[in-house]
Amino acid sequence: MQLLLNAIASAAILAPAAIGFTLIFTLFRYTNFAVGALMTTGAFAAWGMNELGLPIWMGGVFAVVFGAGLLLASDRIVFEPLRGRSGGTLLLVSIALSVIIDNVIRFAFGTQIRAFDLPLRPPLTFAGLRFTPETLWVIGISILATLAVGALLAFTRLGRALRAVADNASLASIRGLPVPRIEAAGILLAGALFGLSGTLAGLDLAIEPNLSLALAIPVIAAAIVGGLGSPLGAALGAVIIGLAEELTVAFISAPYKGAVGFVVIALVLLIRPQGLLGRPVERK
Amino acid sequence: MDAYLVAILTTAAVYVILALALNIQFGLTGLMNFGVVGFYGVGAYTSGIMTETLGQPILLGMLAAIVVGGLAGGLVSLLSIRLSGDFLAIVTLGFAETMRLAFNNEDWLTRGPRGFLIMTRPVIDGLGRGATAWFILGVFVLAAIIVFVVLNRLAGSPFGRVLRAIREDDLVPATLGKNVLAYRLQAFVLGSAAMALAGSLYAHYVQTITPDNFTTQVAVLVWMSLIVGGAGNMKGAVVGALVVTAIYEGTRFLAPLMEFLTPTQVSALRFIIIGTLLIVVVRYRPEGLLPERIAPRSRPDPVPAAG
Amino acid sequence: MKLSRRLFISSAAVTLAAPAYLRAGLAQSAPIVIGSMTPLTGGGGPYGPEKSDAHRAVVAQVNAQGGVMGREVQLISEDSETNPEAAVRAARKLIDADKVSAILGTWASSVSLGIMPLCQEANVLQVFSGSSDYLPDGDTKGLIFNLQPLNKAWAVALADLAVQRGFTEVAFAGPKNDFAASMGESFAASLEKLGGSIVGEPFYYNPGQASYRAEAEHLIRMNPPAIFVAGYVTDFVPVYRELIRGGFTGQIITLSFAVGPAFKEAVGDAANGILHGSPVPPIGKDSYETYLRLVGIEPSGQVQNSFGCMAYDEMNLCLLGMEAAKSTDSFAVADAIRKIANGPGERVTTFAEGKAMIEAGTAMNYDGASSSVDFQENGMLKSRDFALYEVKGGEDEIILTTTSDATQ
Repeated sequence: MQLLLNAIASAAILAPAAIGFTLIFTLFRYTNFAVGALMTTGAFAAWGMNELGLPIWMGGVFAVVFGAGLLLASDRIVFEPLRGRSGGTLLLVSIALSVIIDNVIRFAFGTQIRAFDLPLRPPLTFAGLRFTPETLWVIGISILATLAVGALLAFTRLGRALRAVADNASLASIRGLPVPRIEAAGILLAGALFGLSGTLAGLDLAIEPNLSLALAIPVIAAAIVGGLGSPLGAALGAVIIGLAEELTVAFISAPYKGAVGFVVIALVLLIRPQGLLGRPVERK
Repeated sequence: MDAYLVAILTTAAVYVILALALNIQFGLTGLMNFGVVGFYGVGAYTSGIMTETLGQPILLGMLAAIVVGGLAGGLVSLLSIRLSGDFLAIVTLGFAETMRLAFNNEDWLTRGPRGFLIMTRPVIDGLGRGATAWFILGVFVLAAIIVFVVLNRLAGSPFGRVLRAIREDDLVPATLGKNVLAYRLQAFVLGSAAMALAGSLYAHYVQTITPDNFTTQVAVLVWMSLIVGGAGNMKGAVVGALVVTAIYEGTRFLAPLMEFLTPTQVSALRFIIIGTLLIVVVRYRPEGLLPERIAPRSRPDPVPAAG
Repeated sequence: MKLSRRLFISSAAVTLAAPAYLRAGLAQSAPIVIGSMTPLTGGGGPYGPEKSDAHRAVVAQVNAQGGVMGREVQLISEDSETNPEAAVRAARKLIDADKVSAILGTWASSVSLGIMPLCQEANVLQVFSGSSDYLPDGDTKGLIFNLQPLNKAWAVALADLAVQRGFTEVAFAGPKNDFAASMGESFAASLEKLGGSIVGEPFYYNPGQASYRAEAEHLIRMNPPAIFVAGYVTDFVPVYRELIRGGFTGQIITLSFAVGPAFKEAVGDAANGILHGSPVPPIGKDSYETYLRLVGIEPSGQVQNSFGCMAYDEMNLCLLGMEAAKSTDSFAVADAIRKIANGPGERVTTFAEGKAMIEAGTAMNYDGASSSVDFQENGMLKSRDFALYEVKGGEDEIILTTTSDATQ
């Protein structure tokens, strides 16, 4: 049980970003490796506000806004002119973008670690389970975000439009949907989720410009395992990755934890190439 | 300065081989192997274990690297046979990361994070420092030329044309009775074996290898080389590797012009410049410096996925 | 093909022209060129800048006071990226393009070892801080000096301090890197010699992860009375957080460089009670405080810049060695460094003091900011003082000291 709770706590950090990642993927069909760098930026943004004396939640709000703005800006500058290029090219470009973002942070803030002004406390115990209020907050916020995005996509006009554009942009355009504006909304939403995840990650990790790779891989793994295109799938994928990691450390070998995400991806893709909750995506 | 250029050209030769190897996988066949560094590392360690632990001559080390690298490539290819596009990229990236963890944790075989010392070098004894460096460069350039000639010939052969056809649309060769999976497997194995050869050369050149030598960063440089040079064109791969090495090394010399920045900032700026250059090239010269010379329709940047 | 030829020529020209221009600039004033290679990115990122700052500060001061042998010292900084692959390329540039006489400041043992074949081949002096027990093996020419004691010495001292403090049953955890991996083995052996034992197997984790919750949970389940976590600040912060949030109530022992000011700011009051040990930068000693003030830090009586102070000594020793040898020839400089570092002679703590001794023809003994700096024949330290601190009220309070003899 404790393992499951821990897995959920780890998953809660990754889930919003995984949903954001899957959103970008369904809209534009490419793997945005810069997700890690954008999360790191989110953590730095939230930390910056916290450092100015604002409470962490306000820092988080700022990180969400900042993340949305940054992703939209990077899309306008970098990705928009490259629409229609192959997935490989865009993946490579997103890696380059990630390198740029990391080093802009390094340039501006140096390499020393940062942290939120957050008291570190021992856990509460309930029914034999150990947890801290922070953990509950993180899980709560993450579930809320997941449900909110899920509801947005399922029930609102914007959500339906987003799905229509993701399915077939040209058809959506013919049907009179303002495709560029809908795409922009999707990008803003994804960026906001990256900012949120970054803030949550900052509660656990030492905030430094070297986090990108460590964050990007499990997020992408969660999104693929859950089935690209499905927000709930991405959240579920995050839990599965988290659980697989917990089990690896507990029963197999801790240093190989880094490989777990990939093994799970390979297995899932072998058995069910569309991911757990995904629909088959028509792709080259 | 001459010694420096020799050293840089030696490293560049390794990258040339890696870029050529990736070109047969991605450039010709469209297979997105982001695990370049995994095969490269397997080659380096195999060769090192062969010559140091088992005391075999260096040629046997290289041969073993090629065989094991090819086998690893076959295995990864079979495992991911149904995958394409960025899914294959993620799985191969995972392979590379798993290999790095194995290098780091299987101390009995690789000496783990302490590093594997390699005394065997591809030189004849008794040369001075300068002559040794030139000799190694000669060996590496020769290896790069051999790889280039072999792969370039393959690219122009009927085999190469089938690979290109698979890249554009695997249904067409399939309907023509070609076994697409077998072709994909062969391309992947061939490329992986060449990457392992590059690893073997590198290991005997630097003489100490640690798991940190085989991080994703190397794969990114190789990908940059191929995209900048022109995917699908073997000459492009060579040019790309040389240009990327020149940029990577050339930016070092900017430091004295920026005394007002801290060394950390200078270092960060270097990476910002490198990243920006890549994006600029991709945007304004999408086919690379040396585009593939076939019908304009079949560019290395094919039809986007449905959407 | 036309394009490629043009590109070849122009890129070759750029590569050639830049250094040639630099070389022409140097020839006029003929400065002494020294390479500073520190980890500015990668795993060593939090520690590299203090090393490179120390190098710069010493060189600026020495140049202001008239240089070495009357020549200006030119410092060329390169980023090792905490990665031997990148470091080897950077070292190539320093050695073959900049023609440095020495490379100072490497931090990760994999980097120091990685560039060692190049330095040995080109007779370039290496002065660095590293703790891998394998470091001396790569040097056949007597051209390396290491300001950090080797792993074995750390393990002996820290096990001794833990036992003195009453902890005989200690679990070990650390990232799977060269440093912690050898530390785990030697720490277990040292603890057993003192009648204690390691709880379970030494536990290694992978640094650079998105979460360390599973690792902490594993340690908590072992339920040891104390855990020695041999991490760096980037992984120690999350591991420590998860241990506390997971309800671990035993003693946590770590290394001082993991719990510097950045760590204390990160976890606040929860840092209290941590025991940490390290080779002592001699807190309160004049040489250490001179260094801190030189880089613009007010001494706080705490462990500050535990790597920067070694970089300060690296540069002082290298420059004093050159001044004393009246040469930049690595072998002569290395001989001079041995004499200056080990004495006997009058105590000096800065380049200026040492230069005065050299001019007066008096023998000297360099006493550094990081230690008294006495080397064995193989360039490793003879001994170093270790201390065990407890964090109390957000401050380091020294509780025990021991001297670890590294010559055994």
